[in-house]
Amino acid sequence: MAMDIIKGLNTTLRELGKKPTTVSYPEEKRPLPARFRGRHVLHRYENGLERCVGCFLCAGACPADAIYIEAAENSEEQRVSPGERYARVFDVNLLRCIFCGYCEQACPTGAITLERIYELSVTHPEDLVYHKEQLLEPLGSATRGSLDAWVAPAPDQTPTPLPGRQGFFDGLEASAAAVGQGDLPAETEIMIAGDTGDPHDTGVAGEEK
Amino acid sequence: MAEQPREDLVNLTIDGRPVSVPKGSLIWAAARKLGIEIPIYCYHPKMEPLGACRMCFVAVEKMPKLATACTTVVTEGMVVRTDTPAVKKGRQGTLEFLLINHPLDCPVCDKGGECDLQDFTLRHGPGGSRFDVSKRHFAKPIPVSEQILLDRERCIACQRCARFCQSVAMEDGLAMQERGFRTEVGVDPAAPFDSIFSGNVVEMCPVGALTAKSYRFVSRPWELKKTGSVCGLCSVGCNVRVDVRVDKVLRQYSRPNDDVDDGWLCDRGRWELDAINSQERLRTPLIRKDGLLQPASWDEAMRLVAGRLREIAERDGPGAVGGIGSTHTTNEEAYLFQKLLRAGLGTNNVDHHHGRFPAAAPGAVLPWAWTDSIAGLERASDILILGADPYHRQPIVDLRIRKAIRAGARVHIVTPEPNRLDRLAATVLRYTPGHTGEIARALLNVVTAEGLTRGEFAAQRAATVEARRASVANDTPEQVAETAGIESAALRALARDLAGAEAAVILYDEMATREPSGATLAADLLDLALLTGNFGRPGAGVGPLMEDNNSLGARDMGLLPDTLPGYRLVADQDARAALGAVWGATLVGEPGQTYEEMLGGGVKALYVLGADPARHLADAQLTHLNGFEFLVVQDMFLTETARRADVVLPAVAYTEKDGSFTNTERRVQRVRQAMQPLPGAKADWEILVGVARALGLSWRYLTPAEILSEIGRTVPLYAGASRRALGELGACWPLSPGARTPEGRPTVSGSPFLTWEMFERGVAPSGVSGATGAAGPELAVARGREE
Amino acid sequence: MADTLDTVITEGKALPLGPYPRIVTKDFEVPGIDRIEVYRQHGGYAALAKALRDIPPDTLAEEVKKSGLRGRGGAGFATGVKWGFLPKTAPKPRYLAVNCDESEPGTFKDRMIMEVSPHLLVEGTILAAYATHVHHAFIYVRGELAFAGRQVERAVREAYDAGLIGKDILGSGFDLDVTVARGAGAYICGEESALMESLEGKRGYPRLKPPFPAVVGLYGGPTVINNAETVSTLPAIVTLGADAYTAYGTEKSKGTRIFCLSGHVERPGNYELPLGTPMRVLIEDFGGGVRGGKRLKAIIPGGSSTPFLLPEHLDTPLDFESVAAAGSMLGSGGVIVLDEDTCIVAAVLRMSEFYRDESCGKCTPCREGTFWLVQLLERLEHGEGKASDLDLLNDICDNIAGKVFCPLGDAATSSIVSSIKLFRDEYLHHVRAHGCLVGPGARKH
Repeated sequence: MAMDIIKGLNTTLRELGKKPTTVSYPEEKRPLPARFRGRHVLHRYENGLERCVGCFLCAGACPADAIYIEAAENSEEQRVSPGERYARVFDVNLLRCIFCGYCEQACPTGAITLERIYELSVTHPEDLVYHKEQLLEPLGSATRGSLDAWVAPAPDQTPTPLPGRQGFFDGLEASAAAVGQGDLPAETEIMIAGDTGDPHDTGVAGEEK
Repeated sequence: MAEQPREDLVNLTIDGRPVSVPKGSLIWAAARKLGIEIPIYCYHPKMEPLGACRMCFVAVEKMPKLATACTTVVTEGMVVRTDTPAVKKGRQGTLEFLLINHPLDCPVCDKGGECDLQDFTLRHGPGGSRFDVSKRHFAKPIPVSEQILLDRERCIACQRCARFCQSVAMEDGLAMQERGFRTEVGVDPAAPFDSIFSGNVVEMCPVGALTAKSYRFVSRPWELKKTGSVCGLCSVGCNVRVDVRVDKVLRQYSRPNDDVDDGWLCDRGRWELDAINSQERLRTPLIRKDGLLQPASWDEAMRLVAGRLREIAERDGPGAVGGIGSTHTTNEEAYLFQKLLRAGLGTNNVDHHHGRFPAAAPGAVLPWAWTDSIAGLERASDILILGADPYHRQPIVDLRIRKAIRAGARVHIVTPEPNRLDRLAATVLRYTPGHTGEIARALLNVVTAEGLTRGEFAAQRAATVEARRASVANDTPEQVAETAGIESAALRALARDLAGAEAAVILYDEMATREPSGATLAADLLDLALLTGNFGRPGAGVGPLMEDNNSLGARDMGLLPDTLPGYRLVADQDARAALGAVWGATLVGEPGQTYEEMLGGGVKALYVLGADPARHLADAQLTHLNGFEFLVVQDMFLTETARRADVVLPAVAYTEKDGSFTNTERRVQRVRQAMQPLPGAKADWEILVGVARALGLSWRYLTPAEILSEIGRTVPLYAGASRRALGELGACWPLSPGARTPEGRPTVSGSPFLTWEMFERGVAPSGVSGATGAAGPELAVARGREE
Repeated sequence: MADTLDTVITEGKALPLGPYPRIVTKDFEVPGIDRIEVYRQHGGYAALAKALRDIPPDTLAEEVKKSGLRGRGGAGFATGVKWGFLPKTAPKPRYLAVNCDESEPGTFKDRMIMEVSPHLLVEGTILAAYATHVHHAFIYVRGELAFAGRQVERAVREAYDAGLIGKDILGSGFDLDVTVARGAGAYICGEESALMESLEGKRGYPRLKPPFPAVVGLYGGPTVINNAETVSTLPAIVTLGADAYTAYGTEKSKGTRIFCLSGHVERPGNYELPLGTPMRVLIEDFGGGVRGGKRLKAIIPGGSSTPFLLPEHLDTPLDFESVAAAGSMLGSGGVIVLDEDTCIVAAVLRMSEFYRDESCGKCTPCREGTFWLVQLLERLEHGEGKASDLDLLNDICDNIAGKVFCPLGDAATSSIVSSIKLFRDEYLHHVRAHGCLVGPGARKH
């Protein structure tokens, strides 16, 4: 009997000096793996244009039917994304979402990624339908999100495969560029409300780390 | 489809599998018969082979080079292979060529997902491209018409669109411009692309080069729910595929039914869908309270309608209640509506907004319907278009007339206004509007006076011919020329042409019978066809082009004050008894009030279903409309009439319900529900069932199919009709039950053309009651005068 | 002003005749031979008169068959046999179209006939129409050849005035109308079915065959289409007789033919020689050898559509069979000589650009393939190409050749395939040294 207690206490004593398994969330948070899939984020190019071209491919790939999109056409006065098309409405129903990441894989422009955002509790269920304004990264920010974690960076000395590159989108490249003229400079002046950025101040695809 | 005689079949093998096809078939068609896909871009089964895209390569034994399946005609004993390495390399080479200048902007292309270039690249193409130089660029997109955009970068120069414009639509439009790698599609600035058939080029474009403005960036194919149905806009009844996303109809695509539309669709049917998607549609029943229309529950509204109708009918007799039906609702709904009034309220006061049709004359056995068919036009040698404008009102009939012209038919246009077919016509005559009837009589005058009558009918009935001659003796072309402002000599020549024609079709507009001179138009033209022997065989006939999608069906279903469904007179005791037995009611034998009579104040309570009489009435008559004790309007919108109603019941569009329409060539076709009904609104048949139940009737219809089956049992013209029997393609009435298919599906057989015998003895009754055989052969001819 | 009549004749006078008899062009040096009076003084229209008087049409056709005359347009199909394809009876009228849409780079013989002696062409046309029972002939002149077009139009007018065309020609009872039509400037319209489309006023697209023109051709009627030189040879055959004519040439390639010598030779021009004459005779004896005493690099023997030959082929007899045996084609007789300083890649690029621009755009491989070929050749020529481009070029050519709608696409590939085969090192030099091996832009590495 006593032996049993000692045996038990032994376990307790052995663990006493160790770091506890639990963390005191929310003061403390666990580190997340690089490829953690949380809430969606819609990304921008460095010139402020949205990457999303409203192609519906993520909605088509979604096994939970969680994404609803309405597309519209860019005009010279109101340019939202490069190319012809942008998403006027982009809703993700996080109640339906199973965080599988298919949308991310389907996206031809790298516009949608699942980020390490998991604190999603709300009081009203309808608040879990995220709209484009909530999903879009803020103006001035142009990240690639967890794509960097999924896609291995290109070797430094990759020869450019495109001798015919013309400085604007010509459909030669992978589909990322194909649909939105990629991150090549748009041929026309970019006008976004509140955007004062120089449209020529943009990165070039090949230079990305 | 008739069995091909053995000697007209050619036997060949494709990929080792034997197949027999009619002589003159292409390898492509033979392969298709075997289910072997041969990719095509430039070829289109409805157009002449071109052989330009070089996609359909096959290897044919004893041919040194690869053959193109879309241009090579099969020969006896031919051995074709579609899977050799050479064939694969040929196809891959072509696809690689097509793709070098084709932008890979599939994600933003409206065609993406239903694109032949995508599909064939996936199935037959190379995995990648070796093209690493610069693509050709164009500014994009450019509008080529008010509704169509052209993206020249995506064009693969298959010429389908240009060939459609030139050889099918036979109008100005798209043409090939420039040459070589600069080849592009374009429009002559002096000849705008304004054809009503223009949308077909969008549908047939194998890539996203031609896209519709209305569909631009609106959806992707996989987002669409696609339902095979029938277009509800005009009386042609083209078969369509309704493409719906969530709660909106985005477009209609053609669903080939060669007998009706030959695989084409007009721009109205394709894009004019605003009414269905309108934000102004009614979403809740409305009841007038304190002088204002206020939202109410369905239960309350239906109880009120039933209660008030019953109250008035009991107080002032059933004759104080009436109903005006619609030419837009389905056959089932029209049938239920008149059943509600006849069996439920005990009145024959039922009509529809085109009012009495000349056919509803005493002794009528069959109505004035088109005695031939749309497809039959192709076999005509002469086509007379009298007072009609099929291009604008029945476009796909116009397109079929153009096909007939290509097959050698001569077209005679006799219309008040310029017609789009004038350019292709053999005769073009203009006259003062409103005189169509006189012209018909003048034609009859020439035929009888000059002794041009032909055929068995005229030969056997000399007395009738003589009576007819006398009745139109004063309507000489010269006489008519004065009143109608038409060229008399040309009119005379036209009558002679018709009399001498191998096979003539005479088409007039239904609305021409509403003209002051048009009372006997239908009868006169029927007689003209009969006396000139242009009757009772394919390619010859006479008939009206109807106004609305179910103009004919509304009449068939008895939305007429003096006839029961199937044109049996209400005065006919046997017909009444038979129908009454099925309906469980005693039917009144007195004809009811007509449209005008009811609106003129002949009734105290009026039930308007899908009609808007207020729009067509003169101000003086409007006061009557305001004076009804009780007015119910059942419609999709708050129409002029609905604004005056006591109860408004919100109905749904044809894309939101099942049912059937009867088109202008008497074809009964199924309409299928393509989307959920607008929340708050109900299908007309559902509302009618609800009202009937509130009236205390024991109606138990759960689906329109049950109503159609009842129609199939009770209406001789529709004998054997049922949802399953009509199938995908429908059939022309008079229908008769056919044999079951091996799978056990019931069928109906239709009548592509009406013969004189059918008019003479009526349609053999297969159901409860048939037409009386009383209408003698002379009667139909004489009837024209009786009216 | 190279295309005025005087210069042509002056150049023609310089032709050394030697032992080589001239049959078709014998009177080309005569001043004013383009006028009907002068032409008739020199025996013109005598053959026509003889034929109409003495030779029934079918006998004439038989005579032409016997003469072994082969089409001078490029394919070398026996003319008499071609005429035999016309159905005996047909519901629609039959037509003759004379193809003067000479556009092949390196070929300029028909132009000389039209400019110098248009009546020869007209006489031949009447003879061909007579032999094929045609009562309406069309002469389709290349759009760019304005002077030639005017000459032919005038000749036809003069012939009408002289009663040589029209009703009851020379009292023979034979009726014929001749219409001169000018093209609008498209190489493809030299292809017989595209020519018919163009004549009918449509876009110059080649037609689907079958049905062949002999069955369903111009305006739906049976149609025979002959090259300008072919019909211009007919008067000579009538005058000499088939037997005498067959004395010239070889066993299978009979008679004489006009060779168009161009390129880097001392005396470029048109030379009528019997078929089977060695190429060396044409280039060295008549053409005066390679210009500036340079070495010969390559020869294109039959217009730019035919594969290259090397100096070692210089003794190849110029007849259909021998040239084919050497790996090329006699084609339209346009012999192009390239000297040692010619960059083959540049030359091929130039020819490919021609085919790219002249492709009608109807069929995919030709429309897109020629575009791609030029892109690649341009890259190679400017030293930015890759070694793998050569295989790619070959494979693209393979995907074009034999898979196109009409022969234009095939023609576009022959110079590329043959040059890569014969001058592969020069191509590779462009890749390695980023520049040409020879010529002004040469870059050694």
